[in-house]
Amino acid sequence: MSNERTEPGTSRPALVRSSEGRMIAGVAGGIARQLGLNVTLVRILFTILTVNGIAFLIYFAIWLLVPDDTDDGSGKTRLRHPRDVPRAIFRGRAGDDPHRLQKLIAYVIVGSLIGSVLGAFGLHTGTASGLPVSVAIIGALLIWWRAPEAQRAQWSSDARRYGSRISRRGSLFVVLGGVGLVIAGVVAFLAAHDALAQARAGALAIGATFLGVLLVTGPWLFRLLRELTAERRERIREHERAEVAAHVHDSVLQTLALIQSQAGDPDAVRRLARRQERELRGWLYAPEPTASEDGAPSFATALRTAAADVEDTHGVSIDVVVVGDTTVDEAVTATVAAAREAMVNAAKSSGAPAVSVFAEVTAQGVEVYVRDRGRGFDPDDVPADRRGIRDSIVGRMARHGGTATVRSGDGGTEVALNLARKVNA
Amino acid sequence: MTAPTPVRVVLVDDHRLVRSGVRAELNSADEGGAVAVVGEAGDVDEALRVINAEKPDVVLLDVHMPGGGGAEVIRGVHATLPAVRFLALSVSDAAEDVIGVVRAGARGYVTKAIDGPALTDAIVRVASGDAVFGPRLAGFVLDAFSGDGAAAAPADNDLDALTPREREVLRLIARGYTYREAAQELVLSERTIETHVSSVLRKLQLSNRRELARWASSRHIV
Repeated sequence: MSNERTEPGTSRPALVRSSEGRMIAGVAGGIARQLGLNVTLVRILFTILTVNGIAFLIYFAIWLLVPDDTDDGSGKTRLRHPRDVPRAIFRGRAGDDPHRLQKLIAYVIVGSLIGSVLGAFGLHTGTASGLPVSVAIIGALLIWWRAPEAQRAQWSSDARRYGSRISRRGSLFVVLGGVGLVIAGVVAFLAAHDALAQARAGALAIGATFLGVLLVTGPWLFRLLRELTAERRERIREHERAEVAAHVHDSVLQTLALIQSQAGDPDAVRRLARRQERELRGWLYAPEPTASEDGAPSFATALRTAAADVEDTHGVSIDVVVVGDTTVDEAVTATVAAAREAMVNAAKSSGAPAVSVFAEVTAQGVEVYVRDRGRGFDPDDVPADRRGIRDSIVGRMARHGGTATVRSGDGGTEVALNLARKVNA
Repeated sequence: MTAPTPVRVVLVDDHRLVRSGVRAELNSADEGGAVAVVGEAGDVDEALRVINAEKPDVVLLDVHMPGGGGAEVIRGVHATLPAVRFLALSVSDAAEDVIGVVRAGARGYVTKAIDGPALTDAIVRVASGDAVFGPRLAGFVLDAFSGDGAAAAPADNDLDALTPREREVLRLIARGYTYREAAQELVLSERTIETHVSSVLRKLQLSNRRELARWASSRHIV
């Protein structure tokens, strides 16, 4: 990802922090790349210069100011706030980082180093304080190391609900361990200087003050927090309500207005009501699962759509029950078209207010039954110019290797369509 | 079909409009006086009270209600009044809920689109101990129990599979046939059809078929 920036012979690449093989923040790697030096050399230089503290400051300045080489300008990893720093180091989930262990070790080393350095020259306190300070700093680094993840786990309620308990505990233990190390380090440091008694007095004063402030402001803070949560919940609820209201207005209320204006026409009212019912159902309940994943319409969807069309056009109610599903090919499309024709016939000629459609997809093939309880007819009596059944149903099925049988009598009419599945399918 | 004494029915639905609609539909369709609505209830607690007071033959039960669904009512009644039978009546529900009500003990499921005579018929059937499957429930059962009809080896548990005859009966019901029409079609007695449907209901209530739960949660009956 950074090859173009390190091409030899060209002008020097811009100074960016290295994202690969970094020990802490990629500062040394970046400098090495920019100056064309060996990374290890730069690191050793840094370590030596750390003794007088300058390199330490330089390192942190570069860390904060110089962008990462993976920063594509989208601002995602740019360091705007100090809290971005840990995120910039551990981009993505910490679990994805292949060098976690090395980094942990590096932190321990850095912590000890800083502790020793401070102990050695900054504080004139003798050698006894080196170890405690190191321990404290290692602890602090540990807290820092885990902070983003722990915060994420704590602040996001999703993480709290779905996150793995163990991993959260793990990170909690690390943070607690870090806190323990810091406290132990500080206490040991103070003890080493016989300042524990003084510190205790100071700590007592600070603690008492803190407790007092907490007592005074605590209830208020708590209430504020609760109000914030309540307000947020309320806002979400309000948003959902507005969405539902918008939908109901666009669909149901409009339809009701139409129904009122057409109250004299029962057919129109029934049609409007049926369409609205279907639409509302589709909205309330997730769309029916389809057989095909690639977005091609499924047989069930096609049949339901056809039924909905006939319902709308002819003002009858059509109940569709589909068992199984399949993808649509030419023959299946023809079957749906034939079924549609049968529905139209039932709607137009039978006089029945309702039509039942049952379709079953099995290993053997596709079967569709369109049934009404209206007045039946004798298929042989159908005039020659009414070609619906002969051509659009029987003929269409026959052309695609299927069959269609029409049974009609006093109890109504049933058209049965049967499409045997292709052998190679 | 007319019973000597009318079947006493309690309507349970949280919408008063629906209750009065069903009541009107029953009254207008029921010339023979086969069905008598003796009480109504709008929520689970009221339903338990009314049912315990009236001890009806059949409870027409909405699947969705405040304070728990129809399944809650069935559970509350079954212990004390095992003779009361339940028929789930619903507009449009998740298959999960419908199956929940049936598995809790309802003797059948019909949609509110059912017309008066058919509903009367269904109530009388349920009162006499039969199961009532509308086309949708039949389709659902066919789908949920599909896949093993052609299997050579019979399932270990006969609750987990439909017999070919049961399948045939269900298919006819799904096609919109009444029990009588299905009996004519299969050249069986109506009684035999009823037996098959009751057997399917038993399987639906007792089967542990994985597909039942999976299928139900992924789909809606209507």
